[in-house]
Amino acid sequence: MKLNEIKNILTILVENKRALVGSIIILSFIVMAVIGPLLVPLDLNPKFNQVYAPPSLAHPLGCDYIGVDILSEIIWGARDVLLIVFIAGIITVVIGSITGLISGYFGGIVDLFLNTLVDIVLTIPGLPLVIVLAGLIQTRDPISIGLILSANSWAWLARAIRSQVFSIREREFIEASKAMGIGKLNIVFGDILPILMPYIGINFLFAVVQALYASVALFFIGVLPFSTVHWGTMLNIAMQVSGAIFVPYARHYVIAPIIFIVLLQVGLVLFSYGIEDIFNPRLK
Amino acid sequence: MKWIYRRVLLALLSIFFTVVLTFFLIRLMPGNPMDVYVQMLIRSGRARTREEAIERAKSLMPLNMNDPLWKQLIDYLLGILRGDLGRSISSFTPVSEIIVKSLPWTVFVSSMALATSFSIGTILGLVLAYKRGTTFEGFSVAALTIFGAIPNYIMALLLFYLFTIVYPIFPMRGAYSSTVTPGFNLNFILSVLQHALLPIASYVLTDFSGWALGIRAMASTVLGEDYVTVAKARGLRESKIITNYVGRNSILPQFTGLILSIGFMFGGSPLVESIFTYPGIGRFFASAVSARDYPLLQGLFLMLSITVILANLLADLLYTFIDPRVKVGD
Amino acid sequence: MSEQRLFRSIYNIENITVEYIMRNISVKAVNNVSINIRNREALGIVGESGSGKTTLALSLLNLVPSPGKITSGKLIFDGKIDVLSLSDEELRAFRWKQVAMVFQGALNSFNPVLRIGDQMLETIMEHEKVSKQEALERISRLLKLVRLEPNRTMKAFPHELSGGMKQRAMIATALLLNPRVLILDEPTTALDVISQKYILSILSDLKKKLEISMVLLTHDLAICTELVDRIAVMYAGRIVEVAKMEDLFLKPRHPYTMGLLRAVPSVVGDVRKLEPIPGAPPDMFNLPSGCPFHPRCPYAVERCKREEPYLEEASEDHFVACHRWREV
Repeated sequence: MKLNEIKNILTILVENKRALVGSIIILSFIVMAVIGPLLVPLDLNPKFNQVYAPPSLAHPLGCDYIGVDILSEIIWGARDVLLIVFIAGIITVVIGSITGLISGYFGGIVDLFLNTLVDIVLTIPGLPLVIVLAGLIQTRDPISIGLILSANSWAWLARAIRSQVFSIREREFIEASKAMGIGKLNIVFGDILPILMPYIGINFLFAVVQALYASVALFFIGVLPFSTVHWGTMLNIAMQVSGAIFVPYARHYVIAPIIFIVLLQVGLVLFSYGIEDIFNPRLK
Repeated sequence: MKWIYRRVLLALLSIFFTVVLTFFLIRLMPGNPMDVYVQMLIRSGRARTREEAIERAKSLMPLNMNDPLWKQLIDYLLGILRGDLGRSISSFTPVSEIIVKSLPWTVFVSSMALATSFSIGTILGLVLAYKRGTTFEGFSVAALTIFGAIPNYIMALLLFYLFTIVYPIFPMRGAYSSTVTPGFNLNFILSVLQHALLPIASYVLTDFSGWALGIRAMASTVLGEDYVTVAKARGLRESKIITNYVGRNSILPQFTGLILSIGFMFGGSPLVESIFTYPGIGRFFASAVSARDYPLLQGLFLMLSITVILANLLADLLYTFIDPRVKVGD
Repeated sequence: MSEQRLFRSIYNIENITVEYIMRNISVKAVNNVSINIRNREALGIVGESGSGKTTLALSLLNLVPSPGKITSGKLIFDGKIDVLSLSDEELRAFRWKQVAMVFQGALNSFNPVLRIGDQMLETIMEHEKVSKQEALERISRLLKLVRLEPNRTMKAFPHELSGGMKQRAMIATALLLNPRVLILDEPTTALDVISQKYILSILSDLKKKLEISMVLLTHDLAICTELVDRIAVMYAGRIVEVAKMEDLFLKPRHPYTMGLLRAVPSVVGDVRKLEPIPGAPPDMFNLPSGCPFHPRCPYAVERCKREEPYLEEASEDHFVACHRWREV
């Protein structure tokens, strides 16, 4: 990336406060997830002398029900949290875009079939479907979890992309490509896809927001097998396993994951709204 | 007219698809439901030997697992048409009975929550649109965005933690206190409200911002329309312009959202209801998942999907009546 | 109607300036405009889009949309009402009762979710204490006057009427309270030729039948010939020439007016060749110094670049803002 482009992006961010605040939050979380585990070791061995130890210099967020340092759990958990939502976002966007592009460009019987499928998938309630799938499949593989989380979110994007393609394919240069005998798939992925990239990018962010909501829910409700330090799992343990929620001096343990979940969710929402503002100013 | 037929056909197709999906979803998954059933019987002490458990499981299973798949599917479909959704594995009660018992609680809480958040959100959104560009507006929009970003189950957990444990003001579980007699008496009604308040608040606090931001965006567009300027030029009262001009035109699109939400109302949230141990559909759904209670899961999921599909249909059909501009026929 | 009454002015606009103030720039959409609207006259205000005529019209109702603001000047209605110092409630009563306006693009002037009849009815009811029966009768009478079928029109939603019908319904709505001044902003643009003719014939009909002053805003001089008594020409937020219609057509004094006349298919006098005015319309964010027309003016001299000309009386009832009107 050229220095100039970086400067442009920075100017836009500074002007759009929502995008700025959102990107700062997201970046800090990414830094925490990538670099954090290198700096802070995770020691899951029980230390019964420091069960529910209050925040201190040695343990900035205190300790949990078996005396494990909460900050290190949060930091290592950030990895699981971000990895899962990132994969889910990618899968949603890939399936949604491909379906939408094909449906919109080829039209006819292909479109009728795909569009009916999309309509049907859209009527199935999202979170219950995800919970049922997660409960049945019982996987701990991040890609499978991503697939479960995308179970019906891809359909929204497919529908939106399809209508965009309908308008784009009438444009002159597409006609020109056709006349030049360029293959259909080449037109779809070489000509149309690049135009839609910003739009797909915004929808990637929306998909990530949705995936965070659903994935924390899955771990919180306890339907996915243990990923020991996922923040949703931490909440699950605090609420249902260890009974920490009833222990008056364990408040920091209950509150810590809540704060990080809310902060990340707020960051993602602000950033996605901000980016949407930048690309669709008329929606303000 | 042709459009209506197509729309209804799509809804029926979706329902059929969902029914088939629930059938296969559970049959094709790892962990045969029969095995789960058998283990459940042994663990709960209802059968002493494995053979006995298998015999009982067979008699309790709604379908004969030895039949070919297509025959099972047809039996399943016929069962649904008769209203027979099988029996819960964990409680041995018919699934339809569980739905009948738990649905009123969920509908009660969700409808109260929906009505409250829709009204608060709509009024707030109109006020914000009218106060465009003020500090009050900027501050409120920021606050609303943040509120809207909080997942409702996190809000529920916070409220539960704060008001039943840290400050034990509200009851922790159930839909009413065991000391009152259900029926039409003041004590019962008060107890029901007391138990429902926190779940309702969890939904309202996280949902109202979405309604408010939605109508604010609509109203900002409407405020720029010629007919609003003309209405001012015509010397109409401000109150009349806000309600009949800005309000009516911005609320219209909100109605589609409202009717769609009515569909989701029947599901409740598995998480929020579990946190408050509220005996609604969502709570049974969550426990069915963790207990791998397949018949119950199937029945609840089917009920949920069908209400959502019907609400979708209703939203599309109603919209053509609410908005005089929409002409049926695409 | 005595000659004296005819020439008394009903609305005095004195040195009105309207500014649009955005973050750090301000644009004067209307710059120090003075003009009197006379009793029962039809005044045409002619200018290209962006010349400030719509903003001027909106300021007559004190309805300039933010971020616009009337920053100086006075508006005196009927010799006694100081429009800019009215309270909100007084202003509400003043609007439509004294000055009504048919907006440009009447296509979007009606609330799409209310029936035309209800919108007309509420206009009366918000201003007058009359029985519903009486109000409905007045509505039908006016709809007939603009040649619309009353029952059908009143029951219709806006989207059920054609553009021309909506325009006529809007004219009827504007007349509901029997206003003293009726402003028509580009009443014929966006309509097909037949509807245009129809609207113009309705308007000249109204002019004969009603005791009303009309202000017709248009970019099209040709339309004025059918309707107006006097014409004011606007350029870059200023009035550059005002005169009786015939006077202006036969003896234009401002170079811009001359340019406009050359750009119109000839309506008066000998047939001339069509000539567009050279140069680009003014950039309101970056107006030239002195006379704003000088970059496009064939007669411009050094003085025009330095000094802004003001309206002066060139002949009886003919005013022009040009340093060189004597020589031109």
